[in-house]
Amino acid sequence: MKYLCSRTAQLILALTFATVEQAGSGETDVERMLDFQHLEAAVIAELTPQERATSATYLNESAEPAGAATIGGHHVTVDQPYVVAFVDQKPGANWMHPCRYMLIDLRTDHITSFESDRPPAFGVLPSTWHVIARPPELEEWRLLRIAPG
Amino acid sequence: MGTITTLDDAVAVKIKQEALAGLSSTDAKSVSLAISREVHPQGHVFNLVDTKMTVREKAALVFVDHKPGANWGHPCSYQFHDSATGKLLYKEDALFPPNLAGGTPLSPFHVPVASEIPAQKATVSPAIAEMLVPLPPQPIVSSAIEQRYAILWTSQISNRRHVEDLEFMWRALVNLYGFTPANIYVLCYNGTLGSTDYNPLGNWAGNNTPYQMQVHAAATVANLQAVMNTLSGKLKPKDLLLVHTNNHGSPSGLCVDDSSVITPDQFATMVAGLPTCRTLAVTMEQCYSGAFQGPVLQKSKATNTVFASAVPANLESAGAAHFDPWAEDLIAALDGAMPSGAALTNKPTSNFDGLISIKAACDWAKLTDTGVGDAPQYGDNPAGCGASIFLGTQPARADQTGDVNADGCVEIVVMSPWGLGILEQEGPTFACLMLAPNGTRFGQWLLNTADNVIAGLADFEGNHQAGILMTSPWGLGILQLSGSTLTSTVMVPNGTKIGGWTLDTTSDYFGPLADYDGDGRAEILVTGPSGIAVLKPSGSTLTALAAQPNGTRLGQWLFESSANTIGPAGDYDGDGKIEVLITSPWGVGILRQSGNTFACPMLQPNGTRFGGWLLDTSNNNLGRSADYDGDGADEILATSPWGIGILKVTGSTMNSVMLAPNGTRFGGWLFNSPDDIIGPASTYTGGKQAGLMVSSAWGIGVLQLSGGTLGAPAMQPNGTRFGGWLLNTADNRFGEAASYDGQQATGLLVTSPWGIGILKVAGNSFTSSMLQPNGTRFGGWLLNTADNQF
Repeated sequence: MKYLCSRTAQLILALTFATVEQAGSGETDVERMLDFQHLEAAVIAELTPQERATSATYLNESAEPAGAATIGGHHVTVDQPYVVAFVDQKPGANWMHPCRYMLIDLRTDHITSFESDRPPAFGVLPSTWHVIARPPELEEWRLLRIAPG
Repeated sequence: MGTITTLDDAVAVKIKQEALAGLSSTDAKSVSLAISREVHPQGHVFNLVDTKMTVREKAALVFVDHKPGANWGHPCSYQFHDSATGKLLYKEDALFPPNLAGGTPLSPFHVPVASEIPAQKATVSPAIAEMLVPLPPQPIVSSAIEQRYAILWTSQISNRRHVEDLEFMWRALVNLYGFTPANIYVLCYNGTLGSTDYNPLGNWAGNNTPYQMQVHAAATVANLQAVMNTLSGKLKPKDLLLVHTNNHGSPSGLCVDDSSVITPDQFATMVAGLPTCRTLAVTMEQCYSGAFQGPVLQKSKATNTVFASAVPANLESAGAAHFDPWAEDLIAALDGAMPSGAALTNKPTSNFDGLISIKAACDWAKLTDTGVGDAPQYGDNPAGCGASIFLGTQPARADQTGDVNADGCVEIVVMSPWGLGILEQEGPTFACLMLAPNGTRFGQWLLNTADNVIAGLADFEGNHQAGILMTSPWGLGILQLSGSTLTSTVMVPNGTKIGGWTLDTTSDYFGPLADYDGDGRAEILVTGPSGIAVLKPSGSTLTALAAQPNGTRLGQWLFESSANTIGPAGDYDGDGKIEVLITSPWGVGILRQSGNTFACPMLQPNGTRFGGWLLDTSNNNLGRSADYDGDGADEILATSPWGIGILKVTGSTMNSVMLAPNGTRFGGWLFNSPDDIIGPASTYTGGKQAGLMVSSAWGIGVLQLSGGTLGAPAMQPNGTRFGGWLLNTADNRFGEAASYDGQQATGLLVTSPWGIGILKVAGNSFTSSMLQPNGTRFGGWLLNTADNQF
């Protein structure tokens, strides 16, 4: 089944790399954008057929530093900078309901996935989040609200 | 400037005619007209808050309200008429009436009428859907009948749609069912009208109007417990509590915030801390909400407990762009309309009065819920009780009419916040036989309409004079008319042991009043948490003719007061003695007082066919007993989602004298049980046969048995004038039918925001044998249908 990639040409990222080690000096913004495009593709590739058919997938285009964090109600410790993706497996249903998080290692692109039952935030997601995959027929109201960038 | 003079009556008539003639058909449906009996001189000034209107020339005034019922500053206009000829001189528009601060008395003479008055009753269109909504309950003078409370919860992580649902419920409770706003505890978000995804909320999505509900506090466990503690001090045995939760849920419980829940056991423990009340209804919309059903039903101390949820314990509930599907449907069923005000398709089953039980509302929501993944759940304890639970005042208030002076005419006992009066029809008006303010002592009975309840009128002494059975938190009394006042002939305080019965007016339900032992004097049937009894006046106190506890077999009927509905009384077998109808989730029976207990000459379980009528007490309305065929025995009216029937006791069972499905035309009346409100049965046309009054959004009619069907000897659409009375079933409230004038053909009491009247059948129509507007003084009694309880 077809699915949409929601990344647009005019996407401009305000990446926070405060504590992220640069892969190498001289890396450009364009190269960073390409990194997110690459990550988006990697996340979409991880979706199951069921998820592609029914879920809404989001990517937080903001690198998280290594260390401890609470994500989707889970306490995690990550030893490398990472990016978070979120798969809402029952968009529009009341919480709590099945969903999945993917943590993408920025250095190795390795994806760690775990099940959850709650969104990254109740209410409006920060503007760094973007919808990267959804069934074409999924109604707008079923998507989590994202603050304007 | 001259002085204000009085308008000539003849000119007033001309002015009203001219004003009415000037109404367009559109205006006729929406505006109200009122006339001032004062002629205002040139230069007279009306102070209209922030403006002034000066009368240009001496004129009489017709005030046109373009939005009746709305708060002021809304469009209205002043029509100034020549005080000699009645001709319209000029008009001016305004936003406030002339009598906002008193002065300039106005007499209404036109109220909005229904759209499209068809020659025959047609299918109701959504345009007049609002008229299908049951009228707001009558003003409750006495708070002793019952109090109704609600807790509405949406958590600190709720979405806009959850708050929308709460607003919908709040509006239904306050605007339709008459809940006192202060009795509704809204625990919402962080204590404000807000949500996690939309803040501010903006207007309410239902009809794009500002939110009305008042948030009590933030949605926290502590606040919920505090509300429960408050209600613990308030709830009385006859009270109702509705708890509605609407937000997110976890498999472990009801979400409070993003890190804590209220578990089913915690919630049930809170509920268990409440004192006994008549009804606890818990409706839950959140995910996994079915997990609360078992603990709530198990731990509730309420006499009747109802639980409904959008999903079982293992499923998530559906949301929507606006409102949550199951909650929206549940509330719409209770409200009689969608949030927008649009009519419901395939309306829920209603009772005779057009009210929807909680069970019927839940059934309807289950059928119509479009939420993907929703699987509505329902449970009640005792089983089946939800079909007899309504959010309106329950039980319906007792008949306040009777022949109090043994003159062969029926009088009306009226109560108001001021006191009590007895009105007797005297031609086109009422005379006041007596009236007394609160604080008056009737013998030993201290009148206080804030907590006195009229439990009915009956001939307790066998002298054709009806006495008034009155209860209060103190106890019970019977009051008799004595000259121009009342005297107490029976006084019994709570706690009095009457044979096997201990009187407790805070938990006992009284009625029907009838002559159960056939001695020509009425007795009092009473049910309570402990059982059933028949109490008989004996001197200044009562004795118990019969008293039996719950669990007793009355004949073959296993009596359980919490699960049985008793009444009406009637002579169902034509033997001259009174029996009483009894129903339960099991079936139906007839009880007859026999010694110190009851016999049960007829009982049948659900599933029994009475002729063609299939008995199912979960959706059958049984009552309105009367002698429909004129044979000297009373029959029982039955309605259901299928249609209508008249049932007759035949030995140990019943037979159907008539039955017909919805869609049957009775003469000109197209019967449809979801739309038709069943009024009193009475001998409207004189003779021995009782007829049945019906009303709908179209108009009113009287149906009468004719062979194996019903005829409609009288029926008229809204907008018809019965003498001076303008029929409008949207705001006409029908009362008791009785022989107010002493004639065999009975009259039907009717009130409206305008005033009061008595309608009598006249040919194929009706006439008003009396009618008077609010503000009329009947002797000393000031008529005000806004707070007079008839």
